[in-house]
Amino acid sequence: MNSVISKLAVAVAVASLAACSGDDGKNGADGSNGSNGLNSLVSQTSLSVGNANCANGGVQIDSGVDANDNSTLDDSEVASTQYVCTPARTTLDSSELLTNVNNSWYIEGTNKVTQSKTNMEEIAKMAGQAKNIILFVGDGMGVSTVTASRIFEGQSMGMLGEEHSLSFGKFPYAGLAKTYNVDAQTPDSAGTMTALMTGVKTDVGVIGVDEDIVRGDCSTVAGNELVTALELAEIAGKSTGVVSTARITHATPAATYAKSADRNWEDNSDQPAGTNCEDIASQLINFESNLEARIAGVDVDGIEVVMGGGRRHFLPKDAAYNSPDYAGSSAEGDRTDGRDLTAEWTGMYANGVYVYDQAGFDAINPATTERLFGLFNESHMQYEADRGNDVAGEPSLTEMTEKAIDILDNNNDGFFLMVESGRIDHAHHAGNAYGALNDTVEFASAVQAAVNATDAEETLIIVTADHGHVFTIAGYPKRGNPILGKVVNVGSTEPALAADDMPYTTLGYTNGLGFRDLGNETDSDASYAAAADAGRKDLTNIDTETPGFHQETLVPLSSETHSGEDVGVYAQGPGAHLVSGTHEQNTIFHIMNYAGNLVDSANQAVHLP
Amino acid sequence: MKTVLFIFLLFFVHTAVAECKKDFSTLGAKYSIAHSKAHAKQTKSKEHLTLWRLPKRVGHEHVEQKRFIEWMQAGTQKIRKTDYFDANKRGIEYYPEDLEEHEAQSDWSIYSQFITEEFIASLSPVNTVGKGCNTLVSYQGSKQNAKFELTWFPHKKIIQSFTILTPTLVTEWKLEKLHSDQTMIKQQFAQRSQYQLTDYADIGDNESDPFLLSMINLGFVKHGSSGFYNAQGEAMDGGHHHH
Repeated sequence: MNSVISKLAVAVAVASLAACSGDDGKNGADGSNGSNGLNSLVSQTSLSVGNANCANGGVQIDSGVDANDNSTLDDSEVASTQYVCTPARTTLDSSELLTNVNNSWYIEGTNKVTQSKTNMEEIAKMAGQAKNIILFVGDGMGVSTVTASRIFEGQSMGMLGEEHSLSFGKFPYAGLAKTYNVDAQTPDSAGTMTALMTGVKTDVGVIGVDEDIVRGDCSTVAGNELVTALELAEIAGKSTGVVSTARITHATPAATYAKSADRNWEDNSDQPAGTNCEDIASQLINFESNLEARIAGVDVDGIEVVMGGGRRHFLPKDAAYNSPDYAGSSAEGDRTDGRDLTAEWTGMYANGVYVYDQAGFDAINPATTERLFGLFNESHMQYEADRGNDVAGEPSLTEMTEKAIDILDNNNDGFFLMVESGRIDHAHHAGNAYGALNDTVEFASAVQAAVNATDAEETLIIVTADHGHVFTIAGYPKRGNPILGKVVNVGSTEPALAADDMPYTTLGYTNGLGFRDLGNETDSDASYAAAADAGRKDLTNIDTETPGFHQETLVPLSSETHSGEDVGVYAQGPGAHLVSGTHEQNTIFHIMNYAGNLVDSANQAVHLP
Repeated sequence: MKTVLFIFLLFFVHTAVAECKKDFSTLGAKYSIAHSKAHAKQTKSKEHLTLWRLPKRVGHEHVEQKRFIEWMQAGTQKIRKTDYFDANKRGIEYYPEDLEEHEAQSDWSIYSQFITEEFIASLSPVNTVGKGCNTLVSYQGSKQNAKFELTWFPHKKIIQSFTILTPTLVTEWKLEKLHSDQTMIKQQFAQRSQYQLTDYADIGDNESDPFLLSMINLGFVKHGSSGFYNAQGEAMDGGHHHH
């Protein structure tokens, strides 16, 4: 340390005496010497970078009186300390950023922002730019399901998995939707889909009606009906379609076309005796006449494409009406009013085609088919992983989506299509991640098929879920660890052990039926055949990646439940930017309405002479 | 003389075989099933299980549990199950099973008569009494630690008595009543077909349904006899088709 010491002398001035008129007298004797004065000392010390007082370095200046007169400013003599700090740098040399800029993650992030800026510039801001609207609903496809499915699909393609994107993960815009029903913190499919389709949140368990309804009370329907986006599209002259792997009368598809005080009233036999309301299946068949009766001046031509399961709600409870592929000796149908709704439909629409199996589906020529009604199972369609076991074969969600678009886009005025993957939800209810992930991957495939089949400049595609599930991705598995496997930590090759000295899976459920080891069973619902088995199990010798493995759970319930957290909303096309942010779920309708100008178009159609 | 005797024997055999031409595809058979500790004098527990049989369709009525499990042939090697809860007048429907995946249930006889033909064939016949349709054959056998004593109506295809003895437990089946009234038997199925049914896949979507919420407590025949015995004579879980 360099030090500079300067010594300053301090002179003491003696006051001059005033002059006298006489001779100067003799000088007096010298007085005694006064005591010596004290020197002030200043000391400067250089400070290096990182100093507590000067992060970028600088100088510390100490000052004080040299009390011990040793010409050194001792620590005890310091009366004042000041700092003069070197100012911080505001620029970096490019060579100092090389580690960042050469990293692939950094490069990808930079490109993403660049693309986002481009997206912003290309936003179609004018309302009504979407000639076509496709709403994809993954029933029960919460964010954890999306993440796990992304990894699952990526790993099935030979990747580590985490870096992969599902089809809709590549959409330019994403947001969140708050899914609660008016009367429920954790919602169900009926209330949530009603919100998505009508722009109005409502109660749990009701279809197409507002919160003034009393669930299960048929008399409260009238006057509380809501108008759906599908109905508006119909009125506006667009073609419309509903596709689902669940029963076509199940809550999610039903909310596109029906009004019901209870989601379970799928056919007349499901309603209490004496109920005077039309059941959901009948409403599907009578959609055209019902809409025209409900809204004066409306002239529609009915839903052009309907595909899903649920044949039993359209057939009488009479074995004579059994479908050729029905495997049973008793009646396939459930209706007790003697009506064959499939026959009523074909009677209404002479140019329509009714199909019930893969062969019939394959024979459909979308270029020449005006109207299609497909019921491929007496109840829900098969899980994707189990679809090969269907007796007569049934089309995949991707195939149904492609066929639907091929038919609907024959209308020059555009179309509205709702596509639901209805059984992600069911697999989760059964506690089977394998089934849920498989169906989600198929759902993503259907979305890609829609992207491929449409023009992004005139088609708004929204992908979302109605609600989530209590499905978790937990532990600290290393990168690329099989998503359906046991947790293996970073740097390890053997499964991690919990405090109970047993391994545990990455995926799990908070509640439900719990553990099952059913091997290669691909029907998730096989889980219901046994009592709940919650709690920890020794998974050491169990292959948790098999289709029939059902993850452990904490709380035993007859069925795993929905969850209450927000779900993702992913969009591309005109108006897609509006999904950004956190929304009430019913806002999705308003985005579709804005993009497709649905209400104004419908109003215009009604008022045309 | 020998010729006369031979002709008589032929006539007897022919008569015995031709004597039972009745169709027993429709019947009801009520059993008591007693469980007791080995070498104990007192019965530990007792329950009743009634077999209701129609062509290609059977019902297992667990009387004390007020539960009726229906099994129906649904095409080639597929079986459909419906679980009826009599106290609630509700039912749970299941999809048809693919029997190829569950070899233990590949034989319809396990549903229609509680024991497989293969199991019966593994036992040794001891005695035959009765004649014609009421022919009753006694069997004995053992497998690992279990011993079996079976009396069996071969024409009616039903158990008269069945005892399983293990070192710790004795299970005794006894036929208490046989029903042949076809109208009454068909009514067992008809009355339950009027119950409100729920797809088992929909259980999770009916969170507000008190019946479905209580499913876990309704049980799936955890402790009682299912009525199923495999080829080894081992009792199998009730309603659980995976082994």
